[in-house]
Amino acid sequence: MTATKIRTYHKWFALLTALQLLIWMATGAYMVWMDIEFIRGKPLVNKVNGAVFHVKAPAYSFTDFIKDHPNATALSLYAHQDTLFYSAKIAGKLQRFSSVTGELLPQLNQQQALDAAEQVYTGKAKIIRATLHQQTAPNEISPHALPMWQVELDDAMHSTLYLSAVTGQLLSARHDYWRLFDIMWMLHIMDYETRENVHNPFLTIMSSLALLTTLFGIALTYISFRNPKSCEEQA
Amino acid sequence: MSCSNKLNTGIEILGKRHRNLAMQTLHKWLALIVGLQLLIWIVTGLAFNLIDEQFLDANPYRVDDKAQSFNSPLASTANLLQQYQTEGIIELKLTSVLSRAVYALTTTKQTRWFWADSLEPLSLSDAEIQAIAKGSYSGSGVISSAQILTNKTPFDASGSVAMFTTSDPLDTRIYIDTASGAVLAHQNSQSDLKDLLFMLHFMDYTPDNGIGFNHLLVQSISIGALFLGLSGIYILGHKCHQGQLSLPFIRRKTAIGKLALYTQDAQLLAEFTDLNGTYLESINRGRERLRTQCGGGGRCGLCKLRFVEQPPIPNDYDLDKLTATELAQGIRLSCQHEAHPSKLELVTKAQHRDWQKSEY
Repeated sequence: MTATKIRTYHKWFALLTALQLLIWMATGAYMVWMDIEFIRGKPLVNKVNGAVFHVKAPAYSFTDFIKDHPNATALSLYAHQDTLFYSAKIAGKLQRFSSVTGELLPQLNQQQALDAAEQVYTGKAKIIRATLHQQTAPNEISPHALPMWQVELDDAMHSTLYLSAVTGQLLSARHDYWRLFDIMWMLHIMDYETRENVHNPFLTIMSSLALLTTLFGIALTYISFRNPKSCEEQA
Repeated sequence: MSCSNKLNTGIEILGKRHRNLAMQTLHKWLALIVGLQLLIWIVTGLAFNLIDEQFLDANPYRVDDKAQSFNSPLASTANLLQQYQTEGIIELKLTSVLSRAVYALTTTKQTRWFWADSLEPLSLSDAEIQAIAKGSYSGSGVISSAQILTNKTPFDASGSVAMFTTSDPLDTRIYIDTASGAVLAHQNSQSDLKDLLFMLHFMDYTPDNGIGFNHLLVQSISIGALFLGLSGIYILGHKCHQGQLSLPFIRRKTAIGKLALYTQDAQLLAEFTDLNGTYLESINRGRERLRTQCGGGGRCGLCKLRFVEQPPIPNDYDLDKLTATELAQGIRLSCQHEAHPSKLELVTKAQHRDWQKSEY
């Protein structure tokens, strides 16, 4: 293949793929430059706040719990706002129980959710609102942890905390940089609907064309850097 | 136009010309630096796109933990909670190892495991660790004896990590945390391929503590790649501006007329009627008659030809590569101008020699 053809092919394939290549490069640069722990909201919260307990054994013991709920799984004793609770999955559903009586406890009410959010949140912004999600979760969080409280904060990056409405424990934190990261990810994998399917035909087509663009580009780089003809030869 | 205005316009044109050429030089050097990694990104990205998840799956033989029912009585947690209260207790979980109940006590410092029936610290024999590995595995392979890993591992383990190999076709490996008895992971030749793809895509060539993408190497190359893309788009825009990006099927057909090419001695060399693209493309269609180094990028100057009549207005590349005398003689870079019916002459003897060689 002649250098002229290689340059021509590089030019035309680049014209087809230029925009997506630039999107891949820009989104990739954003994702590698942003600290993933910051994106995950780690600086916003301290999960240990309010979780440490200094009490003796609960009146209602693990043995009592197992006796009452023999099919319980993921049984855990934890503290929430200075009170001990049990959490366990009963028939696959997460529930909260009193560590004193063993009775099943209701979901957190709004005030309890607000208190829980304030306890784990390390920033100074005020809470704007708390919304309970029972059946469907906002797009930015997995629905597996439903039901949950969404607590929105009045800060510059629109931070939002998600807390389990069953246990009050922090599920996740979101903010505008996370949301932008999610958009970047969507553009990077070219799945504009679910944002998680990397096996989509758009990506196949554009990656294949980009591969050709790059291969011709690399050939052209070699051509550009090979030794130029001598002056005698050109004369 | 006043003298100062003319000067300003001249400086502006010169500055723009230099910018265009600088962009091409930048693109060329960035391609040299990041081109190979760009290729790796695209190939690995395409691999993730095309390879079915099941062919990268680490867990085809992994058995999920079963829900346990505990028959033996559990010891009171009072002493346990009392003993570690100063560390700040966060959670006490009831779990199981080999069907025996275990308390997992997490403090602000660490997690410890105790047999829930005796409150003795969890301590597992080699046979028990192997039994845990076996219990997590549904494949037909024979499980080896434990190998304790001494190097760093990517797993979040509290104690040393025991690795078991198997003789199945996927070369499954099982990793157990000897402190907790937890099955850390299954790995196999499929997941090794997945890890390799991630390692190449993220440029993390020391993935002992897990593959990450927040490191200086990939960050630096990503910026280089971004500027490679930006300079490429600038060049495309410039080519479009210079009329070098009109699509072939909507391009003006100039079959009416011929392009006649002469030697330096005014002897007719060839005539071309298929005038698509630039002069260079039209002349070299099917065979490289006019040799170039850069393939028509306006950078080597080897494709220069003399227009016998009505030379086109010189563009940035002509002005950069040709002398004032050459420009005055009607010499232009044939790669930079759209082909029209015209009369052209070769400029060097080398061109004539290459032409003759290309005929054989």
